[in-house]
Amino acid sequence: MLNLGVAAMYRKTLKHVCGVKNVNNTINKPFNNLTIKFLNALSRLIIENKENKSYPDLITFAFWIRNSKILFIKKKLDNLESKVSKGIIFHISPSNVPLNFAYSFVFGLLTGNSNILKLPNKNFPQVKIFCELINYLFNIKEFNQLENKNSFIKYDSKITEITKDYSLKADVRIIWGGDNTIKSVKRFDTSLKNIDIVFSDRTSIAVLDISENILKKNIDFDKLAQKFYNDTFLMDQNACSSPHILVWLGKKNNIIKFQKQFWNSLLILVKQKYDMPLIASIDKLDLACEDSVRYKKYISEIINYNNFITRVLLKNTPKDLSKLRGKFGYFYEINSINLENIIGKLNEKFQTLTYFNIEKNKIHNLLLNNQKYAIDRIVPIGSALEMDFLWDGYDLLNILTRQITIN
Amino acid sequence: MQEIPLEKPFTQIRDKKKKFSNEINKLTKFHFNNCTIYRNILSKLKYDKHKIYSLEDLPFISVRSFKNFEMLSTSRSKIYKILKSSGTSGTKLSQIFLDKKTSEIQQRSLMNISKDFIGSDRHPMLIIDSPKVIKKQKEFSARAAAILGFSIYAKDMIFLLNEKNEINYDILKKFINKNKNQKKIIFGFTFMIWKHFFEQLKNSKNYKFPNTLILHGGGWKKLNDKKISNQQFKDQIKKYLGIDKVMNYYGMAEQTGSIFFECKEGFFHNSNFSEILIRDKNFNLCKFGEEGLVQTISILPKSYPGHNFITEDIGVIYGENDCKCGRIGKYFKIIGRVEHAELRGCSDV
Repeated sequence: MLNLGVAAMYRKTLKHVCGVKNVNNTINKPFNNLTIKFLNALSRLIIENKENKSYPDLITFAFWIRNSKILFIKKKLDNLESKVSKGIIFHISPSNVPLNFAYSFVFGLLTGNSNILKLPNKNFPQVKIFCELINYLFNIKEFNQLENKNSFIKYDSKITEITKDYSLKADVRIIWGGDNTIKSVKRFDTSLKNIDIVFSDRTSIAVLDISENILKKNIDFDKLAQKFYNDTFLMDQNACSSPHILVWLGKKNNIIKFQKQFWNSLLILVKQKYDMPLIASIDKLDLACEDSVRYKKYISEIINYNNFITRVLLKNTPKDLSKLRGKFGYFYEINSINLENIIGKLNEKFQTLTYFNIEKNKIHNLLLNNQKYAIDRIVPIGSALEMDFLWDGYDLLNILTRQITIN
Repeated sequence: MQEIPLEKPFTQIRDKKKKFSNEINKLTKFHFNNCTIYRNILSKLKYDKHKIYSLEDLPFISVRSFKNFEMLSTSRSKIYKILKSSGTSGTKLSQIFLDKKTSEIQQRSLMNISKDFIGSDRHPMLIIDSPKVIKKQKEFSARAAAILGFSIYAKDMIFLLNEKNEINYDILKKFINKNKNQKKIIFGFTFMIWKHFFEQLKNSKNYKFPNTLILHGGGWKKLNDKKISNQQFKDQIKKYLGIDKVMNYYGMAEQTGSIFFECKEGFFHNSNFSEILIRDKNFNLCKFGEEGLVQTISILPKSYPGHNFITEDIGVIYGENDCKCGRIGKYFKIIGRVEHAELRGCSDV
């Protein structure tokens, strides 16, 4: 290895997994029938194969690209008829989420662009299945011309020469993977008209209103716990849209009553379903030790349920709430007198607000009139991880297309 | 007064468990009262200083806390040495604050425990390191601490490596020739011995080491990529260098002194000065034979709250008081280090 020159290293590490080596740069119309048909065929292939059921992320993806959904999304694009694709998109996806690249691919494909996609380096079975299906479809005559527009590659990020080269070819770079990846990719020059879409490190919050009305209703705590589980434990609480802080609105007694049932239901679920790694126990204890010192004035109690769930109850709020970050099921809880109060304390690091029993328009209005950057997305509890064309404050459909104006 | 005499690391002591537990309860309370950071942590871990706990119910901290915080239970003016260690994962260093008293009892404990395994005679000692690691400073590394600690066994203490960690062959030849028929000790960190001694010499037939004991410790972390087990380490050294006495020790820089030596049966032993507990992911105690996280408890740390913490090592206790080597106490093995999980999420870590 030591004596290999850059060029040799380059050849050694760069692997073309599917698609072509050099994508062509034809400009196409967004949401053209061929791409919609292609995605629908891909969706069917994934769903039809029963073996794929063991990969819930793959199934979720397949449902996300089915016809009805795509046609629904198509309506969201403004001035579709006067739009064309931007050119070549270089997608840099994170190494620890198997199918993140697949969503990025869909953004690029549907908007009519050519795509160079860096796949995660680890050998995830889902990625393998995905690429095999893509390959199969590309070989069908009908989809031939799509093959010429797409290139799926793998390489070690340390070989920065490769990132450098592809950066020069790109009209758009979509950079996932957080602050450090963005910093390292941004060092490389692009064409002058290139735009970067960057997904930096973000954090998220859940707000639950425990007003009298909800206590009169028959709440299905198991269902609520399942939704919250999906938002958090599915991704080890590490997705930027997974909440780290739970804000409780309402009377103290009501909250305590509700919390008891909520956490109990969640605990049962976590015990059943969550394959908690050994390191999680140490990480949670370590974070609890750190928090006990750093936030000693703010914490009223730390509750630990056999290391499965850790709850840090705050009696008042530290200045920068975005620093409160747990993982593997480590949550901070705040009681707040009202929604306004808590929204005033959020900053630009906050991406998603998941809500329970709150009028969503009320949150929306508060945020629209907030006069500072906080929260890009409001969704009900259970939908935190649902990918959308509006993501992280970007309107991807419109950014990835170009409008030819006419007067 | 301490009820467990430092002179008796492996002697049966009446009511040892009770005495040990009392000692740790007292230490916990002492550190709680004297170290603000430790008090903050233990308060949140729901420690009640008026309660007497069983050993396994006492709250424990994570070993990483020594990296995150400067914890000391005495005034800074009484600190005369700061031990810095990279023992656990990450780049931050652990900081261990030692006053004279703690340092002294650590040294006595180390001496008495090792006497039981190596004997009390002094021998020529070849250190597989460079003298630069023990340069006198107020801050010193775990490596330096180990070398200085074991130097009590050295009749002659000779450093084999230069500053670039290369063998000085003149020194090596001299050492071998001078001590041909005498018992000798080769001492060093596990990875230093492997990389800078064994791997350099294994293909050369010029160096033989009769009547030699290799004493090594400090973990296998840096040898992880080579995937060498303790047994392979011994076998290879025997095969290539002809040394059949290889003794490993296990110890935390955060608990210097209460060290665990490997007996001839291949097990680490805990002395009267320490206890070892193995916990599962819920921190429930594992049964003998079950793998889990290693928690180490020691009566020695007085100037800093390092008497009770959970490590990132995975170990198994095989039994208590019935090791074939004849020593009392628990005997165990270290399997490795807990794996840092590949997080599922958006950040490219």
